[in-house]
Amino acid sequence: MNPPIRTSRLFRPTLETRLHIDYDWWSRNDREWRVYLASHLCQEHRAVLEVQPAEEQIDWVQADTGEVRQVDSIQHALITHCSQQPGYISPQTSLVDAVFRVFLANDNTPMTIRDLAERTGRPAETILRTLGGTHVYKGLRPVLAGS
Amino acid sequence: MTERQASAPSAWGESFTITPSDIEFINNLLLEEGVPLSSEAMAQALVQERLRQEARRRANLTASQKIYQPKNRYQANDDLVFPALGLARGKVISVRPGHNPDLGGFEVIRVRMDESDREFAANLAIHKLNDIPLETISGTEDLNAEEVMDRWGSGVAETIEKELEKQEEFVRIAGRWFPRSLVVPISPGHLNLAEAVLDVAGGGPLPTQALLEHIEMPKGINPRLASFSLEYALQEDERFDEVGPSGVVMWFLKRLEPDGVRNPPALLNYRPIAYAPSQLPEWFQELEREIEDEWGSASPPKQDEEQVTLTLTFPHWKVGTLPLTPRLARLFPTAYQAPRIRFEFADAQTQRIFPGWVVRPHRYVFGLADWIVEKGLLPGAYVRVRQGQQSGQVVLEAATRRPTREWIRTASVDGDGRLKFTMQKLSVGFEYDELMVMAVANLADVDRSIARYAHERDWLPRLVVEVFRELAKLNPQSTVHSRTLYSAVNVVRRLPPGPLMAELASRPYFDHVGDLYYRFEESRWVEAR
Repeated sequence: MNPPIRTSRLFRPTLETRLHIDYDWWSRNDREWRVYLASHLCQEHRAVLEVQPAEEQIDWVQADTGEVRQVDSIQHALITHCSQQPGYISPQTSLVDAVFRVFLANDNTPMTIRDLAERTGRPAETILRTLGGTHVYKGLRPVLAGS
Repeated sequence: MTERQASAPSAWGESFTITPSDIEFINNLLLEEGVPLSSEAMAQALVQERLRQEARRRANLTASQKIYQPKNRYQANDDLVFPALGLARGKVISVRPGHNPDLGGFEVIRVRMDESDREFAANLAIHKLNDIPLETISGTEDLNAEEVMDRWGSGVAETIEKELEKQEEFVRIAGRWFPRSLVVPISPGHLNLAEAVLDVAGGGPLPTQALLEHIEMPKGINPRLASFSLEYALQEDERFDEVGPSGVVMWFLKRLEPDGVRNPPALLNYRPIAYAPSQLPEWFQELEREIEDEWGSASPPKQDEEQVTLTLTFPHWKVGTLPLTPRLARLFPTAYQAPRIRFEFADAQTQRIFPGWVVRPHRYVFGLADWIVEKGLLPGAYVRVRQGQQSGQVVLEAATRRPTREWIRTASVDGDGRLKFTMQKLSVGFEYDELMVMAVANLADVDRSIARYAHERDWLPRLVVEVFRELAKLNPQSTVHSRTLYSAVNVVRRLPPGPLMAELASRPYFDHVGDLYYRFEESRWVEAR
């Protein structure tokens, strides 16, 4: 895995800072992206993946804007099925995975750290320390102006 | 339409103004409705219209273009506007088939937006943007009419009212407006009939409907418009007076109104006297608050005050009125325009109901003469006022108690018409302000004194000195409290505390000895003369 990249030194996140998954960050890490995504699949779709490679590109339509994003079958399954299952985010899910799964489920709509804490059941300060620092984990980054 | 966006808060606050097109809209609204409307109703309609205008304006941005909705089909070079993306614009550069097993057949358009290309679904039958009206899909933070009315409705209505007052083509009755040209003509015969109906009712008050029952209006007229038209004709005729509280139209024959309502009693008449408030001593505000004169500086009323206790002063005691101070005004019925408002007093002890009148321009409430006599009150007595259980009714309570004989300051008049004061033992059966209580030996004599001071030039310093010196004789320290002086001076001339205190503060022969007490320095007065 490549070392995490650094965010701007001038930017200081707070509990009101909004985070999201930075897909550009992942575009530089294609193989790991798919592996990482696959780890979030439910049992049913993991079984499907074993017999059917995830090469197929699907036009996924955003609900609020009608915008189309091409996703592979893993992403599509995650967004439309796996993320909607009970126990998708549990106390056993790591903090980074839990936040990542929130964004998979909500179509990567940016959320404040305070809201993420409520959604994942993790302390906001811990999320801020973990994801608001200089290292980027799994593409989870603050939404900067203009981004 | 202003340049500000109607859906933004900045369009409705203090910066809200009425434009000629708003006036045209209001005129059309009244024409379409066919009945008079209140300022609030017009404000509501105008707010909705402005929001509609903005939605149309936004849509017009795309009149030469197309508003993006997933259900539509597009082709290369189509110019699109995306309301869900803050009205972002783009040009379709290509179309391809969409692929998603869950959605079935649809198309994907590639759109050049600024410098980047983005893809959007098209020819997609099911998507939530397809079902939302175009006016509402631009921005989720925009204000709606309900929010605007909740936050700025009263200000918008007030601005409309001020603007319509300048427009001759509109007429207003009891807070409702209508185009003058559409008011149904009322004949002199109709008005004579209305006068006769009111005459039989002892002058009134009667609602418009009671008058309409006796007047045959042309058939086919909306009853509300008929009512409004009659109200307008009555308002324009000097024989009639609209005396209803806010939102209620009641009519009275002017000639049958009490004299003290039609003609403000001379004793209450205050001709403003110029003085410099900045030169007044710092304790002046305390005195103003204690005295609460209707012509003094108003202190803001407490919102939750349910009862007001006031001290009856000589002028109000004599003519049977109460001062319409800001605190008291909250308890009495008010009106949009009517200068005189007829209502009912209720005696707290006997529950007797009797008529009262708020005379707004002259700041008094009329109708207590008999009640004051019945309760045996003197100037300086406390009176409690509160709103009654029934709407528009005001409860009066005299602070009565078992009578005892007490020394009371008593005014009389000498042969030259000057006020004199002595202490006399009188039977008193009410609670009172010890500094302001006062009996009058002979009212006819006081009238003579009033006439004397009314015709004197430069009466203020002379009156203050004469009354002060007389009052000073009543106690061994020869001091006079400011409230006592105010109470005594007002026996012969209506004078609020401001000019009186300015006189005390500016003349070298008055010395403040503390706690609002003054002493008269005879030697300095001689020098000053």
